[in-house]
Amino acid sequence: MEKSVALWIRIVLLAILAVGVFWVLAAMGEVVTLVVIAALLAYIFDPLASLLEARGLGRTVATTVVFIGTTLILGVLVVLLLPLIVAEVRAIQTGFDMEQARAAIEDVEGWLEVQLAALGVEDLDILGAVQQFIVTNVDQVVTYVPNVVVLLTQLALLPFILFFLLKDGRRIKKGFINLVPNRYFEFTLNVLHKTDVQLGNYLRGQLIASSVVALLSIAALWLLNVDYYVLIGLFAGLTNMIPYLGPVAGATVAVLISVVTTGRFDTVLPIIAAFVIIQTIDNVGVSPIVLARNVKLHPLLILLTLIVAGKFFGFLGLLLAVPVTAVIKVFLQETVTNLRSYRLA
Amino acid sequence: MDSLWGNIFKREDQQDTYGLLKKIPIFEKMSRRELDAVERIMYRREYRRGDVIFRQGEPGVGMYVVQHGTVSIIFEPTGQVLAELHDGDFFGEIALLNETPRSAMAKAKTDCTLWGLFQPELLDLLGRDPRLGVKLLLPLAKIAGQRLIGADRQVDALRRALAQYTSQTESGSENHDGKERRAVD
Repeated sequence: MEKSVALWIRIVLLAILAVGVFWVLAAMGEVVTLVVIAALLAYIFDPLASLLEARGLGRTVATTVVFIGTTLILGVLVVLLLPLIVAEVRAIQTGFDMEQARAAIEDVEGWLEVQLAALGVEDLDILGAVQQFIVTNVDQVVTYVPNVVVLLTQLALLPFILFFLLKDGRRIKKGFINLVPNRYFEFTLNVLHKTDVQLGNYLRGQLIASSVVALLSIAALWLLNVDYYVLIGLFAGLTNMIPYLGPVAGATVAVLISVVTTGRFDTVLPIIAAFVIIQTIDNVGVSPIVLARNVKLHPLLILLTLIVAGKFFGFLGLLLAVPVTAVIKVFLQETVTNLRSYRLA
Repeated sequence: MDSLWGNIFKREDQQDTYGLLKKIPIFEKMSRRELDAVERIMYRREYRRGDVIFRQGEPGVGMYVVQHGTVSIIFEPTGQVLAELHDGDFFGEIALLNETPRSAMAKAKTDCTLWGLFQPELLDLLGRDPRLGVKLLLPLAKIAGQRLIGADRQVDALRRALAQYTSQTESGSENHDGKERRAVD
């Protein structure tokens, strides 16, 4: 009896602690997202630095080489893509060609009214509904886009955090393990190791799969003459991390933008076909190779996580929700399994 | 609790660590630079007398080297002490090479300072610096081999003793039968 009371007290205390930690993290929002991004990147690049170490470089030199290499590649990508992205964002800011959009919607409306006349439907007023929808929702969307100054500060800080996490990651981990009491020492080592094996594959695999999807989407949309093809392609790549919803989201955005900007429907099928082909390539050719052992996340869990992450950590939270959920899930799973085999619970 | 603080506030005296590790047989052929690299992947742990280092049946991922103190290896179901290990000895090396459940319990007989070396870090080191990895593994393999030869000899001696015992009891029972027969006669 006493034992079970003690256990309950412990569980309650742990729950309070967890809520407290989450509250503090949410309050520090931007710093936390920054560290999380840096940690995920450090995790992804760690094998590269180790590979260079195997070639005889010291850790600091190896880290510097990886760092400069990545910066150069990112730099080239930014130089190549930034003008396009800036142009696209500016185009979105000045607004779509409203005349074309209006014409497209009126086309649909007219067509639907003819089809539905038999049912007694006369005036649909889709245009009014769409305008009403945009007016009420734009405010919410805008709050998700981070302040430019804050974003630039973060972009400047990110490389520093990444560099030190990459260089000293091993030492930081060892320092943490040294704090663990003897009774939980081997248990902690085992949990961290098992989590590491599963997550390393998962995160690196996701990065590769998402990059492939983004590049293929950009190429396909460019070929199909869809406006904002870089932005939509990047969006498709990022949302590709979200099972089921991701690919649909990318295709939907592409179709909507194509219809609204051109006012024509003849690109709808080719766009859908392109996304189906890209998904097939990803699912048959890329993911099975790079995601050796998949971390399974339930779509409902992902949906709820996205809502919570968006609410507490804003736009970046949305991007990080899926990988961070994977980290937490694998860690908890390994903790529970190991608590049993070490007879600690 | 003391051991907890011992683990946090351990002395980070490099000279000291080098001298101490160098005295342990499996490290004696290593240069200063190599030993530094090995020390970076090992965990120094302090145990109080009576502390359990690991229990029989737990998942094992690595081995320990005794820097100072005495460790008892105990067969848990019977409480029989299988071996006692002292300064410079190591134990749990099978788990380092092949992740297996611990075959016995390890317990600190006196206050101990141990160095833990674990499979993930060893594999990582082998990937980064294969030459050093081999230099670390080879003495381990040699001693593990010697232990195997020792165990073989024991098995051999036991087998002979068993054969002798069996033949004795067989001849004994024959004699016994004989006596009985004579008694009946």
